[in-house]
Parts: sequence; structure tokens; C-alpha cells
Amino acid sequence: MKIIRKKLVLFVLIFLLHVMTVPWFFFSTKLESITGFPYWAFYSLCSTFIYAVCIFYFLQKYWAISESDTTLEK
Amino acid sequence: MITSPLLDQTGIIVLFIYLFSLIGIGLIGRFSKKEDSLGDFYLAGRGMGGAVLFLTLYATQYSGNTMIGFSGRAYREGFTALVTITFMCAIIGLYFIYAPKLHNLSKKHNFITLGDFIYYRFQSVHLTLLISIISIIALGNYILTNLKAIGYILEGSTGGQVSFVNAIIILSLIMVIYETLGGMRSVAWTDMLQGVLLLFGVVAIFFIINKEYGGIHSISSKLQITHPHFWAPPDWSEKRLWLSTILIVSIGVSVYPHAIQRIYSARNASTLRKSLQIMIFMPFFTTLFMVIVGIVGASIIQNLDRINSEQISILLLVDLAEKIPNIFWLLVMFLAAAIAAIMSTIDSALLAISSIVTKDLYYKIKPKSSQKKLLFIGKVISWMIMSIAVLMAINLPQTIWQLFQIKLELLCQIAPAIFLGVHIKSINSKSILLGIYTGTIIALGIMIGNWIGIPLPTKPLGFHAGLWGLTFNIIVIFGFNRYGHKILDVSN
Repeated sequence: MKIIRKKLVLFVLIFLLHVMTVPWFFFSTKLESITGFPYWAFYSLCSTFIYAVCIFYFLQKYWAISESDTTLEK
Repeated sequence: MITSPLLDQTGIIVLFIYLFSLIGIGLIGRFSKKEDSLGDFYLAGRGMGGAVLFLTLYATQYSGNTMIGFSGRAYREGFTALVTITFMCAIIGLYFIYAPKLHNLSKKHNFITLGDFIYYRFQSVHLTLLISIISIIALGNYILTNLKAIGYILEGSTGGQVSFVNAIIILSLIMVIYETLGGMRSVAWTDMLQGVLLLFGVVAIFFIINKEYGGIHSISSKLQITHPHFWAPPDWSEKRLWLSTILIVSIGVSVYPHAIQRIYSARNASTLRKSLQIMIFMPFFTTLFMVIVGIVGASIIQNLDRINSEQISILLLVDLAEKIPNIFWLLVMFLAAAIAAIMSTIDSALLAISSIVTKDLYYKIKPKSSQKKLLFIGKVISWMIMSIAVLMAINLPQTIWQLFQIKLELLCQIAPAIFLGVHIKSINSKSILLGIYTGTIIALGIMIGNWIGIPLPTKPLGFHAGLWGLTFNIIVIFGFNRYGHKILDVSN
């Protein structure tokens, strides 16, 4: 049961991380930039990098959970 | 627009030496075969090591679109092209969901094709055939569009010395020869060479363009004057489209049958895990570099239309070659890398189609065929498919091409069979079948309806037709799985 819950949490987390890479909360059209990128583009790049680091970690730490022969249902 | 040849005689000779050397690698693959079996031919004996697996995954996943399309998109749209980096990463995130278990199952049950898993899991010939046919259509699309692209690149770079038709015929012959010589072993080894070339090509063009024109930081003030719209964040509908793009590309690409065959081919789980761990960061060294090249290009060369903007990387290199003659080698390398990226995609798709037709269709009709006979059939099928693809790539009218723009919309519909099939035991074949039919009809209905003039947006509420199809697909799967027996009881 614990493995099933972990599996579900991991898969939902991956979906949420997908959603968070979209620059939802940027509206300003000011010509400001960080290292040449507009703020919203810099956010998208950084959040994608965070996504990549998380997946790297999941692959390292939770491979066995994704591989496990449990079914996602009661 | 580039009208003069990009390569001189020496450049063309170097390019063709590289191309014909791929047949040599194919021969080495043939001499390395361990036995006459489908597993050895289509999955390299299921013993692919870390470096080969990573490079073949890399070369297969990054096609000509990376070299040409992504920088062109960045030239036109600016920073919103950064979505390409996210979806290339997201594909690996989705592998994490199903690849560990699928790899494990493939080792236990000797899967060769995606159809093998589907039949093992759902015990339904109907479902296996349906998914095989969808896979063939999607892969055929991939081969056709990439063949056309490679024809244009070679014709353009040689200034017409190699015509569009001849380019397609020569390159297809090279690919089908090395593919039928050694199967996955030859394809993976040529992918290694092509992957290294692709990576070097992208990194080299990125650093040289950054050094000569200044990086994104130094050109941003100029861009703010010439392209202020690049700084505007996407509005709400564009944000929905951004999410939709990430989802449809990552879901569709993650279930490509040739990518699944590489999951089967891995020597062990550790090899596969390490390859995916490197792959997750490759968009930052490949896609991001090409997007930055496109954005830098927008500040250097302006007012290109859509078609010419696809050549922005080459135009920058030509511009540089006029200033610095020694940089000419980079042009040869870039073109070789672009051709390599496309070839590595086509050969993998061709191998996957050949295995699907042989194992999922022919073997179902003639189950008593020996491994040797199946191998022979598989090779004949590769030649037949390539011949048909070449004929279509050369002759197909442009109006029919839009029918082929639907591969991701279609592939999305088979994703639940893999993702849910791997993790939820109670999902049955009837639910998946009904889901796929519903999803496909909705996705195609929206797209084709729009093409024939029905007042229907291609992306209702900013989401791709394939995602609408997928949503209903999943609703039908869970609904029928839960209440299907009651519905059938009532109807009986």
C-alpha cells in the first residue's frame, strides 16, 4: 500500500512539475531581463532545469518503485 | 534565400565519404551478429551498453527539427521557443513512469515490438492490430517528412549538383543497406557516430556564433529595440497552448515504437536508468543552444519569411564564412550533423516498422515461420517500405501532406494502453479499445473538420485536438472499465 501511494504521489508530482514550467504568473511587458532573457523566459528555463533535476533524482532514487509489480487501484 | 552552393567540391566529397562510411558500420554490425533471431536483429541481442544506448536514444530523439526547426522557430517567435526545451525534458519524465516496469517485463517475456507488450498485457488481437496500425501510420509519417527534409537540405547545400530526387534515393539506399545488414546493431552504431556529430555540430555552432556575434546577453539590448514583442510574456491563451504543446509532444514522443524498442534493448535496468539520467539534461546542450542561435540570428539578419527563417543557422554560418574563411569546415560539419540527425531518425523508424509488420502482422498470420524466415521477411519489408516512402516523398502532392501532420495526435491515443496498462491491472482490453476509437475519432474529427471548412477551431480552448481526444479516451477507459459490464448486461 505504501508503494502504491508513493507511486501515485510521484506520478502526480511529475504532472504538477510539467504544469509549473509554464510562466503562468508573468504579465509585465517591461523590457527587463536577467542574463539576456526576459523574466518570464528565465523563469521557464529555470523551472525546466528544476524539473530535469527532479527527474534525475526520481530515476536514481525511485526506479524500483516505478518498476514494482503493484497495481494503482484499491 | 541561399542560391549558391554551400559546399564546394571538397565539402561534397567529405560529406559523401561520411555517408558511405555508414555502410561500413552496417557491415561491422552484420559481422557482430550472434544468431539469426528477431531478438538479435531488432534489439541487438538485448545487450546494449550505456554509451551506445544513450547515443542511440539521443540521435533518435533529436531529429532534423532540432537543427533546423527549433532555431527557425526561435527566429520567428523569440523566447516562447523555449517551450521546446521543456517538452524535450518532459519526454524523459514520462519514460520514468512506464519504462522501468516495461523494461523489466520485456526481459521476462522477450518482447520485440510494442505489440508484444500489448498482446501480453491485454490478450487481444484486435487491440494489438489497432495499435500496430496506428504505430505504422505515425512512423510512416516520420519517415516521409524527414525524407523530404533531407532531400531539400542536400539539394540546397550542393547548389543543385545533387537534385532533390537523387538526394532522397541515394540517402534512402544508404540507410536501407546498413539497416538490413545488421539491424538494430548497425542502426545503433551509426546512431553513435551520428549522435556525436550532432552534439559537436550544435555545440560548435553555438560557441562560434556566440563568440563572433556576442551571446544572448550582449544582443538583448539590440533585440529590445528591433524585436520588443520578444519580451512580451505569453497571454492566457498562449499559456494554455504552451502547456498543451508540452503535453502533446511529450506524451506522443514518449510512446514512439522505436523509442520503446530501445527500452527493450538495454542490457539491464541500471544501463537504461543511467542513459535516461543523462538524456534529461541534453535539451540544455542541444535544444537551448539552437534556440539561442535562432534568437541571436533575429538580431543579425532581419525580415526573413517563414521558409527562409528555417535556414537561419546556415545563413549565420554563411555570413561568418565570408568574414572568416577558415570557418568553412563548420558549415560542412553543421550540414553533416543535420543530415545525421535526420538519418538516425529515419533508420530507427524504418527498423521499428519492419519489426511491427514482421512480428505483429506477418507472424500472427503465419505463426509457424522460423526465425530465419521471419528475418528474411523483415528485411524484404524494410526495402518495400523504403521504396514506397521514397516514391511518396518524391511524388505526393503538397495538399495531401497536411494529412500527415497528425502523428502526435494519433500516438497520444495509444499512450493510455501503455501508461495505464503497465500500472493498473484491472484495465481491460475492451475499455482500451473503446477509448482509442473514441479518442482517435474526436482528434481526427476536430482536425479534419477544420480542414474541410467546418467552423471548428483546430485547438479548442487552446488545447490540441489530440489532447481533447486523449481526455475523452481516458474518460471512456475508466467509465467502461467501471460500468462496462453493467452496460453489456443490460444490452444482453
